Amino acid sequence: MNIFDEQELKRATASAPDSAASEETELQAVLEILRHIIDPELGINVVDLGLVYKLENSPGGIRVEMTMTTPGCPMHESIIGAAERALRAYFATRSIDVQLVWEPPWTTARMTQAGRAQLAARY
Amino acid sequence: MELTATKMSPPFHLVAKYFIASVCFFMLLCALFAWSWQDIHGFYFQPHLLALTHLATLGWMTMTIFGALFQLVPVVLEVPLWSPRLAEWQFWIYLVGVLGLTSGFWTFDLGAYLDASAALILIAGYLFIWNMMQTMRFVKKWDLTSYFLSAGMFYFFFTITLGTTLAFNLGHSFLIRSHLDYLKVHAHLGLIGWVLMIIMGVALRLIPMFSLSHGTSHRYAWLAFILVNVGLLGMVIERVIFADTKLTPFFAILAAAGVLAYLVQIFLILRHRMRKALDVAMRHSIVSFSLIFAVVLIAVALQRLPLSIQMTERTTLLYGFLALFGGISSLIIGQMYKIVPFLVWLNRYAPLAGTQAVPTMKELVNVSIARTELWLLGASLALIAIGILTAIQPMIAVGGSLLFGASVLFGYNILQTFRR
Repeated sequence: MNIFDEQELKRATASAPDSAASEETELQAVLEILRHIIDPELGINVVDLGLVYKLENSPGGIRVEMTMTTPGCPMHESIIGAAERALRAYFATRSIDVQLVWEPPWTTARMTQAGRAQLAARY
Repeated sequence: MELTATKMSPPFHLVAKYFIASVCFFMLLCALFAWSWQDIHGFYFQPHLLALTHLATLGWMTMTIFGALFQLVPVVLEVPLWSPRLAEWQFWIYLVGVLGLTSGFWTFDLGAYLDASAALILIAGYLFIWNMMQTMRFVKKWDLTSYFLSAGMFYFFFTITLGTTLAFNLGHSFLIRSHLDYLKVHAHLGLIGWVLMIIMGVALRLIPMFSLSHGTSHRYAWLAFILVNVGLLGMVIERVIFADTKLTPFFAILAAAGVLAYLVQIFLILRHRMRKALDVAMRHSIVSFSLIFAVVLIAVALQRLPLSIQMTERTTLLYGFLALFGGISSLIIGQMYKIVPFLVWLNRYAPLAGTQAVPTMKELVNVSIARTELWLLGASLALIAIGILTAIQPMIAVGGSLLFGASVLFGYNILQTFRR
């Protein structure tokens, strides 16, 4: 799914993820959307960087906890904002809450295999 | 409510103005350096060298520092800039002052023209210090970077106050003691106290951030902070208050040891970095730190070696040249390749992220031009340094042309980033 493709997004939304799909499928969709949020300094998406700490799907809405690669990272507002905008566009009827956490501090051990490969290839 | 990075940031056009002006000053500086290659020799107190030095320190370095601090202090120290409007006024006053002072030195037009230009720089400098003092009053978490920045601004106050006094003295000659005695104090307050102190503080935050190096103890940076301050204050107090220089070698070695401690700190940070390959910005930083190390060695040599008058003149010129064009400029150029894309991305692309594909910050800079610029810069520094030491002027001429070429590539790259 390309979340930046309006037609594709409309088709996906029309399948009403919040009513028909299972909770697990929804969380997979959340992860898939977050894979399109790129750390602008590293050029790697936030999921493969291991920045997403927690995903919660409840009747009240979707809650994400994520961190940044550097304590006090000046990009945190932009990245959190991008994640919120992308999730709101897909889950239009649900409440979205993306929280920034600094504990536990991020390390490269949290990166996925794909993330590590990208870091090694780029830098 | 927690204030966030964008809310803290000053207006984009304000910071952009400072950076664009500083880049233009750098190109002008390198053009004039290449143009006046025949003047790059002998004693440093001569019109064109004074103009070049002030174009470098005021037009290029200080203008960059103003822009960088207006952008970074609010974001990094989590306090909004006290008055963006004052920063706007400061820019225009400062710009006219720098153009006036450097052209006044170039033509050696002493008197009212130089006095007025120096006074404008003083006013702009005081406005900056006042704005920053008011801003930093609200910093909640003081760390070593905050101390470096505060110390830098403390020395900046004395640098511009003494500088203006010296500019007035050139036309009216009222100082009882030698002008050159004070000039040395002014130069070291400016270069070590202001420029180096600010650069050390900012790099201590940016280098771990960009290289993904966390958790390194700042023990050596603290040591550097103490040693450089004690060394510099000692030198200044001895020379100004006691009119003596007996302890100068001791204080110079303290300051040099402080700079070395800082370099050890940077080495430790880089050793623990998670991004193993060095990008073009970090390569500039490595060149810079190597040259700062060379400058420290030259400073010690000037204090300890029994050099002839001729060699002392050449080595002093080399010391100033490598500090300004090598150590400090290459670090600023490297950090500019990071700060300007960050600024442009935050202003233009951050609101679109999450709704459409946006470029990364790396894609906002032309990396191959930046690499070519670094090679040209390195070659020009080597040629000019050898030219100064051996007094082979054509070598300085060729090096100067390469330096100008490097400045044009850098300027073009940064101005293109602003247009993206």
